[in-house]
Amino acid sequence: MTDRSYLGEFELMILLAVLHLGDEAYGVPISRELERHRDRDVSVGSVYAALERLEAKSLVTSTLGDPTPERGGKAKRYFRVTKEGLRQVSETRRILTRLWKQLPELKGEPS
Amino acid sequence: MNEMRPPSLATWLLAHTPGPRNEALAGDLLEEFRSGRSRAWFWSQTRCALLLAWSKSITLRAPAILFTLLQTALVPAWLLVVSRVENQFNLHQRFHQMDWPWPFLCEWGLLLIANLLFIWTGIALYLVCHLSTSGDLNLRRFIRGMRASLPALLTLWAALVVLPANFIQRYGLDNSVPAMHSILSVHLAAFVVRLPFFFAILCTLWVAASSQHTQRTKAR
Repeated sequence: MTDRSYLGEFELMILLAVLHLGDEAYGVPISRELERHRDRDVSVGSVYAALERLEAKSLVTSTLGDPTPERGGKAKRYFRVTKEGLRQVSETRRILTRLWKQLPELKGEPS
Repeated sequence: MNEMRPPSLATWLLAHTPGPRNEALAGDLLEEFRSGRSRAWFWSQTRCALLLAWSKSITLRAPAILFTLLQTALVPAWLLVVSRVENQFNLHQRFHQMDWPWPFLCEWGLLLIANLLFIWTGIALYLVCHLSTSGDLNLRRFIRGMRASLPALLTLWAALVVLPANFIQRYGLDNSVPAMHSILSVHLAAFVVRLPFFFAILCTLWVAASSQHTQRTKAR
């Protein structure tokens, strides 16, 4: 059996946000995307920490953009999901969907 | 758009935080700040970034910190060995036959050499263990760290051991002031004497670990 490391909840959310944002996936829009869906503040530092872990696992890659004046001359770092990252996202979706389908309707679940 | 400048202390802290991606993070925070976020928000984000960076930095160096604690625990035993060697060869008497400042220089010079031998032997042992487990090592950085450990040891040794010991002896405070008995207790002395070693060893291993992490990050 091959050794698989499963995605954490926050890592999965970040991968989905990066996939959704496409070419414009860098720190600010990723954080905003997560805030919009989670309805609470997200620490940009924690997003970068998670992206570093994902990059170490080769699930994302990053490239440096051009520095801009509104960022104090600091460049943006763009992220893209790799093939392996996409495979793991799909696998996680398949497993979660299967598990959710087995459950009866939960009491107190918002409709 | 917020044209105010972000808190300069927070900006400075971000610029000096360990980690390879801090420039992009700092740029993102500045971009958000200029789009209308508050100073409180900027500080909150900076605190979180600092906490994450430093906890990662410490986790990365956990083996080095543990090794430093273990080696530092042996310091009193080592000083006892050094003291016995000094007594065996009557070094104190020989030094005090010399003209000033040679007794002072020889006594503390010998102690310094002995202490450096202890520190660098421990670091060499750590090197061997590290090589046998991970296989990656930047020898130049280790040597640079070992050289950096020298001023750390000298400064702390002078501040915590040499100067207080000479001050107390010179003014006879150990017998005349009752409160000194508690300050000069064996446990406190054993703790204080370990501090220069702890920071000297940690300084060396900290620098070496940061270079390895930087190399691995650049290699990706």
